[in-house]
Amino acid sequence: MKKIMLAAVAALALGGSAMAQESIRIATEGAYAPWNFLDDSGKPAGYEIELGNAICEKAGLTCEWIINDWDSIIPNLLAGNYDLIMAGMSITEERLQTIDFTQNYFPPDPSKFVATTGTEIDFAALSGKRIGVQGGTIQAAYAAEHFAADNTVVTFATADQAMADLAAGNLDTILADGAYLEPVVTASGGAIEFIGDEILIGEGVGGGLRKDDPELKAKLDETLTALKADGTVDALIAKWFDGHGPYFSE
Amino acid sequence: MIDDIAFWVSYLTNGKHLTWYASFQFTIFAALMGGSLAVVFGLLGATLKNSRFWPLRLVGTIYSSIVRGVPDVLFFLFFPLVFEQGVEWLVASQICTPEAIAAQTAAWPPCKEANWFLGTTEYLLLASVSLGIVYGAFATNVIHGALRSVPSGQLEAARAFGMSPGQVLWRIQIRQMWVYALPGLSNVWMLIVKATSLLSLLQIADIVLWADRLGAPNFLPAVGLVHEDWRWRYYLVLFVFYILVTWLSERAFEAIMRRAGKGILSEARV
Repeated sequence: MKKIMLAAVAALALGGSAMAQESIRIATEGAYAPWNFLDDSGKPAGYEIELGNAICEKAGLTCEWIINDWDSIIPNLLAGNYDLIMAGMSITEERLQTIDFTQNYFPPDPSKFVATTGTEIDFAALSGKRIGVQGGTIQAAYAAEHFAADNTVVTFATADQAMADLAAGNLDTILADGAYLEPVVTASGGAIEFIGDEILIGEGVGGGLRKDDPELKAKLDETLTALKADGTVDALIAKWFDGHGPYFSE
Repeated sequence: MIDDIAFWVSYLTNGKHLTWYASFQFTIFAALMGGSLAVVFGLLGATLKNSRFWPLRLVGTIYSSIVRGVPDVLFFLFFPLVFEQGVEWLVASQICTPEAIAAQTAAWPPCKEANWFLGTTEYLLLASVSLGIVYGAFATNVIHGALRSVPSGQLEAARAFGMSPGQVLWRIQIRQMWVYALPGLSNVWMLIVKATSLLSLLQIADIVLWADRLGAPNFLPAVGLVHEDWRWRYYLVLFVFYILVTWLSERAFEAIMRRAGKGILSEARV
């Protein structure tokens, strides 16, 4: 009896993994517009959602979106709660030690500083400043390495919270992805401006995968190559990033 | 003016807000389920503590003193994780083949087939059980004290009528202890209600998480209404909700108290 039950459980488990070829779960943060956010209906939307759905359609996969907090998004991928991360995650050496990435679907994009308009910061001798970053990002790692000795680096769970604190006057400046800040600065109507130099970190944004999933990686890479070649990816970048780019075709 | 009202009505009834309103069910479910379990654990703990067999008495005492001392936030994070990994460990010991274990790159679970994906429903149940265990320890103390407050004459009389120990416990002691336990239990209930604001720690998209999301400043018209940091307005709604629950609970407990005290022991009804 026990044997039969074990066989049934094993069959279920094996059947489950065989079916996983056809349907995958994609995790996103839902708090990083315009990459990914929750729209007025409360559903995930944005550049990555539309791109992810385009990839799934082209590759013949059934995709389900899952909202997961940023700080636990890699551990939960490793645990097998979902199969792919599409959450504005930059490809870095450090992350490549734990997870795999697809080829990038957003070109390398410089990180930038913003501050409330009129703030003067001497970036050549940066000290005694409160610098906001989102925890677990490439900017957080960069700030910890370069600024932490003489300044206070404040980490936030989401980028939106950092922006709220900058607006409230609790921060001197924020270091974040240029393409995230661009529309914020534009929409702020002059209240927030870019300041200082751009910093190039990371190798662009890609989809995060478990290392033991090479088949899915191959499938997604192949699909992304095709979608870049036929202009779908650039068209989506133009749509979601106010026609700014950066584009793959340049 | 009419346009303004129409705008706000449609803003406050968009899908995001409707999801927020719907998420109140998680909070209410966790409170009711957690409260019921707390009473069950409390009765169990108090009976253990009153037992004449010392190992059982020890179990009851350890439960009520240790769990009462652990912060609820900590227990809230600890118990579901331990439970999840315990189940995964059990499943893994049954279904993981050596090859599957060798192929697994992550530290946990032992093999991919043993992974248990917890959704909102599972987390909500685990959260309710956690609440039940934590506040059951407080209820244990309350009920233990209440059981001892039942006049010994009542118990002696029952025994004199030839009731068995079980009958004395269930029909006389527990039946009468509610009058003494209810004031303390109403306190425990209020603590449980407050603790339901922790649900978002377990990735449940509850009222607090949605208030956070809706209140966060938005700069992009593509995302929705552009607004500054509105979190305090949404938190204020939660304030009002919890105050309302407090008020309703007080009314309810008054009514229960009147009913429990009917026909017995006028001195307990202060």
